[in-house]
Amino acid sequence: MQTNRREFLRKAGAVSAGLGLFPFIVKASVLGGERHISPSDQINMILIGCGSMGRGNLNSFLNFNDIRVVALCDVDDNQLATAKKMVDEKYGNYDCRVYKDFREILEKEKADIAVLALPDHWHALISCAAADKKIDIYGEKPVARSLAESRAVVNAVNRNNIIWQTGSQQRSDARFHQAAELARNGRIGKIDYVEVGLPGGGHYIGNPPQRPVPDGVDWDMWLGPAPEVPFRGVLHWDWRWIMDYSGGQMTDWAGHHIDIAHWGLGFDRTGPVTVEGTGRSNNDGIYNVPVEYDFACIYSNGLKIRVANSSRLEHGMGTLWKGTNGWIHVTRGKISASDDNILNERIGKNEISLYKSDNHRQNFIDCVKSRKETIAPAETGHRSISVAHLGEIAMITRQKLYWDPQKEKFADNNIYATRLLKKPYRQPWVFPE
Amino acid sequence: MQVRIKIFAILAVFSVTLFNFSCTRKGSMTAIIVTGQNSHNWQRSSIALRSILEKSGMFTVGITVSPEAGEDMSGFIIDFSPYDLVVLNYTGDDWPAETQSNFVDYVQNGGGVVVYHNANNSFSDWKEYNEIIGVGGWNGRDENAGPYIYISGNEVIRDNAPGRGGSHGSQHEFLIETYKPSHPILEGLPERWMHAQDELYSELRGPAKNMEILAYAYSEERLGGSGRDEPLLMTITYGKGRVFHTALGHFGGGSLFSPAIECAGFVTTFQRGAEWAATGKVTQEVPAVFPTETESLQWPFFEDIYSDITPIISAMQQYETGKSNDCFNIFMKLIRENIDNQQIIDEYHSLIRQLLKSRKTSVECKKILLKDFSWIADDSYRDIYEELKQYPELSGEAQYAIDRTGE
Repeated sequence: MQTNRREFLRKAGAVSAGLGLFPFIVKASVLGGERHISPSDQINMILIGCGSMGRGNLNSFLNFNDIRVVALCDVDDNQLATAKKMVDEKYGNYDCRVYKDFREILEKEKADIAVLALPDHWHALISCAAADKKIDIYGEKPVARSLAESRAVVNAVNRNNIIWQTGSQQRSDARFHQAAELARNGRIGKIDYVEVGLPGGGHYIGNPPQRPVPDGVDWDMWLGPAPEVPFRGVLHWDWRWIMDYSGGQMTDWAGHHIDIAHWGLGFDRTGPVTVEGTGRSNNDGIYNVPVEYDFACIYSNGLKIRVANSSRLEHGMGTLWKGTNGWIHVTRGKISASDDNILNERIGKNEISLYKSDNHRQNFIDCVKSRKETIAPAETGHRSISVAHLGEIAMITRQKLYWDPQKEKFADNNIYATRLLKKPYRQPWVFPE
Repeated sequence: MQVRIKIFAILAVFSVTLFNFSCTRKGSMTAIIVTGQNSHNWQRSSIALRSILEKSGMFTVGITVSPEAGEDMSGFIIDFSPYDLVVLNYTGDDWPAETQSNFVDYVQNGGGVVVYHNANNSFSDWKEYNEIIGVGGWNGRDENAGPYIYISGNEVIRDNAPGRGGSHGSQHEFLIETYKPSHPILEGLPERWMHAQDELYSELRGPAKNMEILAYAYSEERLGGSGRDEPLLMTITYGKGRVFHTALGHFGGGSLFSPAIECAGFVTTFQRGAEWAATGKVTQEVPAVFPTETESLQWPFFEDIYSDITPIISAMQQYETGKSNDCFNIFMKLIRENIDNQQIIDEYHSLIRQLLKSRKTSVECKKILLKDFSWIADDSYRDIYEELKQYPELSGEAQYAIDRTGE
């Protein structure tokens, strides 16, 4: 009988704790080195968040022969039932277990990997809880709703030495890889300006009346750490238009196109030094995220990244690097450059070769087995979304922000902006420090 | 609300009789804004339109307010003949026959008319009115009202297809494109400019006799639009009369402000359209500031028009769920704009503290102030937050404010 990785970890932990031989802090690093799933081992997967994104991920992971989906979790019985049906039909049995409380699934299941697709305001708490159970995580972007939460996720991943893949799957797409690699290797000269176009959007619904919570939905759990509000019909998908749960398309897509911009600049582990800009929300109603926005980030080398809703930009959606010798633009399905020859350039052996993956989920599973870093590790995802978090704060305060990307603090100790780095949690939920 | 409307009605009617009380530069021509029934915020939009016309320096403007919907309209008699311009900001119950015939005679004999936004929704059964406005929408308009009018391949299409008249998608900024750049109303203005967030009226239909399209915008299907280039600025001639029809300028029923009406492009075309309707000429200079193709622009004078924040504070205090939360957005905008001016911020602090303390302030208002306005708070709020935490209905939000300001 094979020993489940998690079981092994637990036993090892119990032994070391029981004998009191090692200082607690040693545990993670020691175990990190030894943790290993042999290629033949079955990977037990749990899915937390069974909405459209969760089920999309589930559909893909069900096709991996080495993965066994053992349990699902959602606060909505309806979503849970839909997802369970997918698993049951695939496996031809009814073994897959269901939970409504993430704490219970994490406690009871012996999971090797957790796939998380939740409203943003839940990302940090559940990611940290899963990480602390030593479960490897495929987490949808953005890493978290606020910058402080996102940092907390990175810390949890690091201290537990788990494998993390951010669901920024554009990194595993050949076009984005090519564009970023060309930019990174100076094929358009020295880059001093980057434009990132993200969707605007967000429609107007006014102030819909309070209504009964649908059967099977645990509304209090859905809200979790967010402020208590009566149910007004906003549940799946449309949570992304309300600031308590999301920053709108801006924070939804920052994890894609800002992520690619950073990749092509080698900025995966840093951030801007100043941020300023403006945003506009609907005047009225409960949907209050910015629907138009335009902000500028300056990095320590003087480079500027402008982030705006795509209709403001000549190239629209995607990432545009401008250098002294031309430009490269990439978006889904299309790569272009100031000169077509740029796109025919090869990257030589002695040049910078960016991490290559052709399948984002496969890359995660490969890394779960090899214990190597994924193509989109937590720190990288955190740095990508930090840009949008800072843009959001600049819009709320309407101030120019001075950011220290090393200490991740405002360099001028701006008290307003500092308060906005995280959102207060509703009791009994506690910020995952 | 009822009381406020009544008071407003009294004041507005007062302003008709006491023309000289208008506070801005007075023009030599007179204009009357007809309003009083409208699903939109006719109180605020009428003030805005009056200011826009008066700022042109050409008009002295009165506002006439009808009885409320469903009330006896028989006393709502208007003699339009003294005015150089009639601005229609009315969608509601039928006018009395005398007012109707006065209006038709006025236009027939050379009067000037501006049709503003959803005034083109009104009176779908009144034949002459529909000929005067050219095209309209809603209120049962269909193929019997006349063809759909839109632009395709630079041609004006008269489309007799059956279907309802009038639609719009979600509000957004959109690009206005000039169709008749040589028309006096548009001459010298940029041919393409970004209009601020507005409803983009689509699928308007009507008799469209003697109608000229001046400008249009593309109504995007992905935003709920028609997928056509929709006419938005028009002129119509009726008898000897001249009509300027602007379908722009949405002002939501619960809103205190409207980006659409504040747009410098709306204001400029409205002022020029009004002059043209009244005189057949445009003598106003092209403004120095105007929206560009990519950036909409607020007309600078709107700061003066709305500088009094009393209605904002009062709307906040009376806020209940389901009402417009526009007042909070505006107040937050004011805070942002003055964030580095400690003196003004201190005044705002004092207003917020008063609202939080007052028993007259709604619980819903206090919740929003605790949640969304606490990032700006200072030490002076601590005791209030602690006190509000004692009230069960506010304890969660008070704790949020305490946590937010705690570090």
